[in-house]
Amino acid sequence: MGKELIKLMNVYVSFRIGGLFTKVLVNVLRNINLTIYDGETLGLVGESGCGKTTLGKVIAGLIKPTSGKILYKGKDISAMTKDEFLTFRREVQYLHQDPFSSLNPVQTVYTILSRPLIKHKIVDPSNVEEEVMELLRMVGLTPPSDFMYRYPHQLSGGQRQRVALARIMSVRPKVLIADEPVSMIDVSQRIGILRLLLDLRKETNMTIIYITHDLATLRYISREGRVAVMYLGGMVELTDVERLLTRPLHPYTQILLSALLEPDPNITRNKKVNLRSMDIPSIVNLPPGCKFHTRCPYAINGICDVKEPDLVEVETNHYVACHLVKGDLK
Amino acid sequence: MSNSELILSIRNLTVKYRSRRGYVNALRNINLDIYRNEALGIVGESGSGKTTLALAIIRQLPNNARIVSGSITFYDDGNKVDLLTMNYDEFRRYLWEKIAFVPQGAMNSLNPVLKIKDHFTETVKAHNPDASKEEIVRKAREVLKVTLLDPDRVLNSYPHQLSGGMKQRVMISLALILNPAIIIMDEPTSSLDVVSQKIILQNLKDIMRMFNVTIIVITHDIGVVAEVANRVVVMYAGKIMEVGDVESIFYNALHPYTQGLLKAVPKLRGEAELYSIPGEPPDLVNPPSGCSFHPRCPFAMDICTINEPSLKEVNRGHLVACFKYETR
Repeated sequence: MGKELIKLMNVYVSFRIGGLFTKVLVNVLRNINLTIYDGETLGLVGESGCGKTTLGKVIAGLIKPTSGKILYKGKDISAMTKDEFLTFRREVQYLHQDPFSSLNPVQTVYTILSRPLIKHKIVDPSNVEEEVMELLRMVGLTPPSDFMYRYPHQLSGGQRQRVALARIMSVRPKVLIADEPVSMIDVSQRIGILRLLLDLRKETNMTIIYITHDLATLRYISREGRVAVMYLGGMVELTDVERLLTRPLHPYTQILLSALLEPDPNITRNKKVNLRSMDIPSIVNLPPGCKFHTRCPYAINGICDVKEPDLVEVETNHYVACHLVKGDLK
Repeated sequence: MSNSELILSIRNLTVKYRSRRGYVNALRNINLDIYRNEALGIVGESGSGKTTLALAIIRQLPNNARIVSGSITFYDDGNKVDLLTMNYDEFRRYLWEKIAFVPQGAMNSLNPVLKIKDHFTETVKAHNPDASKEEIVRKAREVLKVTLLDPDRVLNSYPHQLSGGMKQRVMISLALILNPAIIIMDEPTSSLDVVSQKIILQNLKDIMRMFNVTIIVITHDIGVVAEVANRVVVMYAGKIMEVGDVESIFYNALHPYTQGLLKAVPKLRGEAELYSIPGEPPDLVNPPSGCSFHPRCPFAMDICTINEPSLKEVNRGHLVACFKYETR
């Protein structure tokens, strides 16, 4: 693994939601501790509402944590000078889920891509056009002259996502946070985008944080990467992708894996989901103790519903937050 | 499925949409038999015509659509009726009572100002004005339990008080309340979490058995088909490319498009390499000549660019529209 690049220490995020009189404080992220290493691929996995997108935005500096610290290259981002913070924001880029709303509809592809080049003085002004063409080639929109003067509405979803990615690559990021980048794209174009991410990762050695509910696409991007499983704002398991798939330890991870559909009837039909309660508790009204105990088939009364387990290393590079796993694993 | 009884028979169905650029050939000469109590999966990408096919069956095509030709025969306890030519007022009785439809993103089709209980009452009363409230609630509790919902909580809730997964299950329950013979579901789980998705799909098999109902699931997700379907229809560019039982399609796919589709899905185990089908889906205003898949097909021959292959039975119950299998 590379050097420590980003470090999250005891990060909490709470939002106020509701109306004037019904305002409540919701803890969207609870006590997140995570180190991201230079050049690695880290997946953030969980169901909607688990906090994976919020965590991605916190890492990108788009949401300020309510408490806790984020270090980028050893520096607390809340204590950075303006210049340092701008560098951090330039080096850590966020690829949005929806390419239909992330591109300005009245700008041509050329304008969209040349703006950051000029603003951040990435290339000499006389070379901007050449660089835009190079970026388009890099994301597979060839020949570039066919795409340069088009507007977003003249592009398919997959092509738009490529433009969004080219815009990000224009500022030479060190970290790319990709939030479900293929979920809104047609099936036949998804592979192309995934393959592009894979190629860019190999060419530039950038760090990728991949947010998804789909472990299969994460595995495609990086089999050597790590993955963090989240549930209701907390991290329940953190380990390597292949280990998580073959040896999941947290009961929630086990259920998530048995719920994933596979393109093979004999395999997928033999996987059954067994939960105490099928509905996820509301984040506004979190259960006490382990947040998963209301649905966990193995929950022990008096322990799991009382104390929330910490994320502990139960074997090398395998962290699990579960009372049951912690005790009897050698 | 030779020992099975026909429930729906679609013949030569062709549907076009009027658009500014010309006519969109949404469905071209569809022939399909659907059998009682089967779970049929219809799989295809967006633009393949799978939703148009569902909307044609329930006669809810948008205003710019035109059925150019074809018939849809519904076998109703010994009677044969053509759904497309019957009087629309008469057809409305068939809708929901015989054929129920759960649209895509169905959870958003609940009326936000009505309690779930009232959705059931309204639906039943529209078809059977004499039904008593008690009777409706009793039946509603039964169908809610089948979809693993707690009737006491759900019946008195408004839609916004339920999660997406719960609303989706309410919609499936609503589809069951009049004991239909067929339920058509368009992307029943695409907006749901993986865990809710699996539980709902797992549950569909029990529902089919208990209610003696035929299920047609329309999806772009190969995994959904692998989970629920007994038989699979693969659609591409408004045509049926391949039909077969789920084992034939997944373990012995014949059509190059089906083969490509299966190889293009990321997997949780084994080889991680993926194949992507080259090119883009065709423009349905000007579909390619011959077989509409030929510009993307690795096996295309000269004949594929000129003639259009028709759906032919290659093995028992396994049909494919491809010239590769015609020379034998």
